[in-house]
Amino acid sequence: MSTQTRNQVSHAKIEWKSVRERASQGPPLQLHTGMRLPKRAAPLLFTSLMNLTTLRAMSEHGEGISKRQLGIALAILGAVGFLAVLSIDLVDFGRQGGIGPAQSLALLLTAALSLIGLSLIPLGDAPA
Amino acid sequence: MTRLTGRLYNALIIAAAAALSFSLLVYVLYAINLLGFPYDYDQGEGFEVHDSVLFSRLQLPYRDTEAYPFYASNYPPLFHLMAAPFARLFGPAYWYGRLLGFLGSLAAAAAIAFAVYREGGRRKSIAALSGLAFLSSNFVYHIGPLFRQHMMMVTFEVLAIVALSRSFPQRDRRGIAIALLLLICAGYTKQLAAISAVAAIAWMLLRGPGRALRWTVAFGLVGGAIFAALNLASEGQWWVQAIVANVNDFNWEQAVGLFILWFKLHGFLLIPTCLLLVYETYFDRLSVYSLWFVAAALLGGIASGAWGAGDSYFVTSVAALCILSGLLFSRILSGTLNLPRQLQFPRNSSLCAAGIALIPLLYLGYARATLKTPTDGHFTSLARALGVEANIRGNFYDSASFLVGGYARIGYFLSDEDRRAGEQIVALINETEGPVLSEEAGFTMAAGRDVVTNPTQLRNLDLAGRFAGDKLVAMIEEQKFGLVIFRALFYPPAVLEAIDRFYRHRETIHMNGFDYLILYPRAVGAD
Repeated sequence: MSTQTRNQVSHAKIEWKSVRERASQGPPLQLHTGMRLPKRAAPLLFTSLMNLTTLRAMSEHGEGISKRQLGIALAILGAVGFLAVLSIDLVDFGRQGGIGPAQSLALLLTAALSLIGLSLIPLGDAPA
Repeated sequence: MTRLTGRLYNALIIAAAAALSFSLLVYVLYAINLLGFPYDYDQGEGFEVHDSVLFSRLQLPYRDTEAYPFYASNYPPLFHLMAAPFARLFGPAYWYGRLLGFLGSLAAAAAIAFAVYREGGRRKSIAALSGLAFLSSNFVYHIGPLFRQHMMMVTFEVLAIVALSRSFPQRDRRGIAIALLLLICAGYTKQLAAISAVAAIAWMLLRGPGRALRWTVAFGLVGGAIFAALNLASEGQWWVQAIVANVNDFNWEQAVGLFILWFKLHGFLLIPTCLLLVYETYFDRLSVYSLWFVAAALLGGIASGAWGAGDSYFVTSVAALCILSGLLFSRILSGTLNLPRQLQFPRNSSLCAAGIALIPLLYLGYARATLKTPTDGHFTSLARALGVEANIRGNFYDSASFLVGGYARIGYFLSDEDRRAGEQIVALINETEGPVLSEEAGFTMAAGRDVVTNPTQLRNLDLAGRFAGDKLVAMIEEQKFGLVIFRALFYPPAVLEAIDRFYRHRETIHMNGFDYLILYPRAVGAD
């Protein structure tokens, strides 16, 4: 295990501990969807998920999605959309010609979506 | 605000209100002018009258176009259902549908003003200017007082979004249910409302994903049930006519031209709207209005490039931008913008004063950018004072002019000559026997004849490979139609070819800026 991975695991354990402590202090921690957090979930997997989706923010600010979550979602959506639009030409299902005006616009929009998403990630737990 | 800046601000607000009220006056006069006109002003209105008549007889307009009268509608039913009681009482007429559309636009403007008042710190003047700005838009002006379902769709959308903005965060179940029902009403008025529904659902997901999912499922179930019921009742024709036949060619130049025009006309309020959008994205929570604006502007704008679409596809985005710009101005005036420390330099007093004076100036600029006025009669001296000359039909000024493809070439006032031309066409129908094939239903309805075919629908079905047209072509070949009336030659090629072979153009009547070609059966054996 590399030093970086080890650090991530220990950081994950600290996060998980703080979640458990908070859960034990108050009423059972609930997600916005009404789901209860699993009591014996694998800490690493769970904390990775927590870090990815910052569920913490949702429990602290009531329901709703944080700027970071929105940013991650938009960045992924934009990137996937960009690749999908581009792949039309790479795969070339019998199409002729290069990138057309509709494709250019779609590429521009998906790239812009990704960039906006990336710019939102540093805003952290602020509600979107 | 010092006393001097306060006075300046008030004077400019009054000037902006006066300028936008002038727009409202022209809009009211235009509506009154149209209410009395008994024929199509915008191509296709007559078919919407006919849809209302069919509903008033408890018949559906989603029909098999292979059998006489070869008629079907591609629009959802709600607007025509609203007009159906009037059709039952007064018979086929244009005035009640136009009145409904006009009243719908006033209701949308009132809802915009209410939203700005409620959510912008109860500033009456900005709220009123926001509502007036909506009615001043050239796009709203065009479509408002027509017998078309588009404005009613926008009205339902505005009411739904304004209701949702407050009810969802407050967990007001009744309010959310009403808002979503209004969205369903918008969707069953015109399919384009799907864009607003997507924006509303996306916003609910941002604010409360769990609740949003539950409400979305309920929304989908109700909408889907209505869809299935319509499809069952029409034996599958609803799917063919309203969905399959609604896919049209796309013209990029038209979409880009309309985007540019949209910016030119609404730029004074568009820029503040975009500023609020950036502010909400990075420094505050995103409002439903912001997501609605982005979706309506982008998707609605792109859709405006479709064949048969046009500037009206931007009306929803105009409603959203009127609300957002009003909210920004109200929040500036109330000092409730929470800017980060680095961006608080605008709180400098002289900058504040300039900023406050700029608000009514933006509305004044907007009023000028969207100016439309008759240039004859009582308006001659005013037009001269405003420095504008007629650029439409020699007696009307439209700031958008008619240069962009897809911009509806309407808006001018109708004259007695137009009425007489319509009567002349009806008289020609009355002189003939048998059914009449007309590209506009108004003439045949006025003559008490069957409404035969809906040319744009037949064209769309033909392009989708869903129209054979054998029986219609056979009737043309047998010269069963006493008269054929063309305006835009929208029929499928096979129908046009048959008409060309068996009918002969004998007369042209000019009405409402368009040439109506009157064709009579060719003599047998003649070339």
